[in-house]
Amino acid sequence: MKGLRRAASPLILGLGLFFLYAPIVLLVLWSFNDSRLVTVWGGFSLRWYAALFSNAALMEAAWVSIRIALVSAALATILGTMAALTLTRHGRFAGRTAFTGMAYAPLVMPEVMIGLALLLLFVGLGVDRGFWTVVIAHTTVTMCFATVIIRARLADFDVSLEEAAMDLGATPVRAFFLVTAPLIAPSMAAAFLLAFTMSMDDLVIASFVSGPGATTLPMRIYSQVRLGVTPEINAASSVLIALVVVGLGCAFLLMRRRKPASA
Amino acid sequence: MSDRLRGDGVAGAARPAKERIGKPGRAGLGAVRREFAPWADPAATPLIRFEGVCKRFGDAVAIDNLDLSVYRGEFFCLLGPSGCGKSTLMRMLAGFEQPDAGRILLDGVDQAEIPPHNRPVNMMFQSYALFPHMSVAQNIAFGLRQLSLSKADIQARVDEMLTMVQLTPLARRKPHQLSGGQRQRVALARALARRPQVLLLDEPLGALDKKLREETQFELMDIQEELGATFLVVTHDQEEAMVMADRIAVMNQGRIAQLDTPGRIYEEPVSRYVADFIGDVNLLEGAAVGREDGLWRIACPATGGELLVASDAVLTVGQQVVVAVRPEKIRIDRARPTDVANVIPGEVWDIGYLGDWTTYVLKLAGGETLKTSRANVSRHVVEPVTWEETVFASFAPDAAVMLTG
Repeated sequence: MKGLRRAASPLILGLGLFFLYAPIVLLVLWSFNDSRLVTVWGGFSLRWYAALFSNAALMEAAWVSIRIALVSAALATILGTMAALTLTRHGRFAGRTAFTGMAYAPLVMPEVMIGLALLLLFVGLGVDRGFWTVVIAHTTVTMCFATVIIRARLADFDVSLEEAAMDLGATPVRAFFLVTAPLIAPSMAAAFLLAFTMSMDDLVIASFVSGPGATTLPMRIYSQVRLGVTPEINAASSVLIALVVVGLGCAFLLMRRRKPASA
Repeated sequence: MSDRLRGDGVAGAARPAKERIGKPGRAGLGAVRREFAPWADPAATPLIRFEGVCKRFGDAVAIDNLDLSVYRGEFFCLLGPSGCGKSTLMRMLAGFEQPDAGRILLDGVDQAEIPPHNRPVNMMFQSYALFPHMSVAQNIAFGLRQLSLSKADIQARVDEMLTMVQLTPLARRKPHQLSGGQRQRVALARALARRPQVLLLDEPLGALDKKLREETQFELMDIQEELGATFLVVTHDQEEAMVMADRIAVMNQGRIAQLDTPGRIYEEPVSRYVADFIGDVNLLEGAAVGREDGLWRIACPATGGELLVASDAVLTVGQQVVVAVRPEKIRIDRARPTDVANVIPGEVWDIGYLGDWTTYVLKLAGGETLKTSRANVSRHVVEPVTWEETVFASFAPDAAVMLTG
């Protein structure tokens, strides 16, 4: 029985990994396919990557996505840091529970709902949808992840370091920039990368709140797929996957990096 | 160093005669480390004043209507168990906590509206709170950088501080590359670099091992004397407070239980709490019987007889009191001594050999125990006192302190 379990567990693990990653591996493999037919292997080729980079519409969408991701990740990191500081440093204040709930709500809320809610908000306010509405939407969602990451770091941050800085004549703002910020920088960078990758691969929310001229890469890919999967899309997806993997990998390494031995 | 340890009871000069019972001349209590007693001078103005300060955390009272004066150049210790409010008091002076009521004056200036970064005090944190991303020199320079000083001035002051704490060769190290004792010195240098009017030290030696702690105590005293700065130390370690302080405030539940020189705190505690908190003590309960020749006769059931205690206390006959006697003030003999007023027979119950001292716990007739100790002045003892032996503990009337509180 025990032996069986021991033999079965790698098998189960293998099956799990297979279901999770085989489609992605296949997609990457097919992106190197020389054939125009997506399901027939015609030899190794980089022609779809070449075609991808000369596809103006896709490249434009990629550029839009990158800009949105950069801006929203920066905003999410700043707001996340502020939220995390408020939650860890200011003890109890009126509305703290409500604030915690609101800051963390997007973690569990279905994306469709967030997208729809934001769409209704923007329509209600009469805001023209486009680049900035997507930025706002992505900031809203990714901010809570940034808050979680930075708050975890602040929770085991020795408050007396900040007090020492103030005791030595630094104003609270200077104390933050001279002492706190350098020490929580790795978690802020991790938060930024996570927010960046989440923004890069979001389709649902962007489709709700985007407008003319602000088509993101996932939106462009999705609309092309509806006309049929081309190897070019495989290549675009592979590039996106690579970007996300690198981003998340860095975020993981930054979060795992041991905090400097505090004195 | 030896100058400070010498002393022949100068503090006794300002004290009333009642404390020198039967002893002519300049009798002082305990050792006196230096001639310095501004608190005894009614004309002296204190540097730090707490006036009716209260602080509450939720329902818990941390500081209860506390008044306290600390004088310029004083080495002052706040001593008490954890949770007695001593750290809160210090944090209020640094500006990290605000009093709920009362005022804190520093050099005559009310500190209420002054944020921590503008107060002329600096603090050495218990955890040292060294900035881990900065080198030793950068840590020391941090406070100076917040002042409008030239680069050359900052460098000069940092060098001076490094020399003072003997860390010049380690200036470029990061805190995690230092030993505990070295970190402690960086923290001290960093806090002193701005030349604060008052240096606050929160358990400054708490993280050091015993040997290093003893050395550092004297180093701190030397530095304090050299700079002429006012040091306010928070500690739970009575030995630390006794060695370093000019005056000690023993705190209990947000109040000052006793405020006095180390010698008087030890030799003349005002309450059971203080007597018990500082050092070892035997507390013998009894009732006043009568007075003769400036001595009170106390009926003490534990010793099965009466004790004579030198005291000016005003008691009514029959009043319940506690007689406090320190173990080292009690002598033990095999034969009943005839030259001492108070003799208590007992059986040796426990012996604790500490090397320099040996502690004997005697079981008295009434079942209570009495702790005595004696210095091991010679290496060889012929027929040492041993377990279950009947001995006679004795002490003079002025070796005991009468406590009514």
